[in-house]
Amino acid sequence: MIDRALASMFKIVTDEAASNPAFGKKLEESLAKFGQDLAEKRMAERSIDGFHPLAEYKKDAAGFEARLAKFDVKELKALIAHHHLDPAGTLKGKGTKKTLATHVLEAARKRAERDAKLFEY
Amino acid sequence: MAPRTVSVVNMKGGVGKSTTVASLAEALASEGIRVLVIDLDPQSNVSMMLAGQDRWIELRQSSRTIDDYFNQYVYGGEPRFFRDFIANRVSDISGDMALDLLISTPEFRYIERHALEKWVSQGFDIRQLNTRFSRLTHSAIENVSDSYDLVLFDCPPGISMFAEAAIELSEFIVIPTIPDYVSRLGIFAFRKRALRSMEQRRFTDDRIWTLITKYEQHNALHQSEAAMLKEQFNVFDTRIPQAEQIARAAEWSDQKRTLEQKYGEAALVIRKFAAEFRERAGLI
Repeated sequence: MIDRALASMFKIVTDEAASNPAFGKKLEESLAKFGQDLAEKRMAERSIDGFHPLAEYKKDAAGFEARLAKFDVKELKALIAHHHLDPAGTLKGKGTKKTLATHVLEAARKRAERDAKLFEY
Repeated sequence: MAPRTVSVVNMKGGVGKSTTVASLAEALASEGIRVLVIDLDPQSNVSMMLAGQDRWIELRQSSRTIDDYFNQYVYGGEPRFFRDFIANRVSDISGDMALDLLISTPEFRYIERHALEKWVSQGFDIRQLNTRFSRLTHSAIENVSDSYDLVLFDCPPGISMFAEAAIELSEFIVIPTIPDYVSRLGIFAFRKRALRSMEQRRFTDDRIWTLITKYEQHNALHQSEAAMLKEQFNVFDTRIPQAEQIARAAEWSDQKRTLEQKYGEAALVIRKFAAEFRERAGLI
């Protein structure tokens, strides 16, 4: 059922794109942008793979900031999103490399302190 | 040789303790390991999973439950050997498996209360009661030690006196946990108690193992928390996935089936976990 519904919907879109150049162009631009955004997002996610802020902070708190410096803005955002380091959404998805790195550092420090207390639970 | 004794425990409920016990016991028994499962949880989940409802009722009616075993010490009566309470050859997995079970019932929750009332009124304090439960459990296992390679305790959520006794007796502790914040809190809450018991017996904390359960590989929270658990605790490499087939496997089948039929694609993971467990516990 769903396959027929999707085939029908895509046929309407492809027919419209073929007969309406303005629509076709808009569609092409939108898909290109989506593709680019997605590729960048995936690349950032790959870069942060295996880097756990809390684990890294615990390993070497003093050198943590220097290790964060290797990440660009997109990667820092991916790090924050993946490890849920901005639960209240204070960054609103924005920030410079410096502010994002400071945010990650603070979040890692707080979590490390909190977890250390839990071992005394 | 004395059997390996392992408690499966977490302060938190719903993390997959009984499912871990049932699937691990079945996987190991299918490989020729002689396993005894002791259900210490009044919810009786592992009893139902491994014995099925009909046999569970029969066992209950014939007074072959863990409640009855401890009852004889609380209320007195004709003493029976521990082995007489055990249900032999349970599970709906096909093949001749040496997988036995001591079932619990919902009434088991009253035994502890009655024992406390009675023995405290006789002048025992909590520490002495703990010792008494531990000794009873210890002598129970000794009574059947030649018959098994592994004794698995399915502990209830929280810490009951029976769970304490099982922990006191266990050489290894498995803590199933969902990789999320509240489940991780459950480990912290319990770990210290387990650690104390291990240290008293000159064991080290590398005998306390965490098992990640209900894992969703595409869930960022699970990925992040699993990495954190690995950083903080001694974690099995195998992660038990959140899988419909594992939840379905809990329901008894009147027809015998293979482990693969029962657990579907998850059977592979369960076998992998069993292999890792065997290696860690020295069950080669």
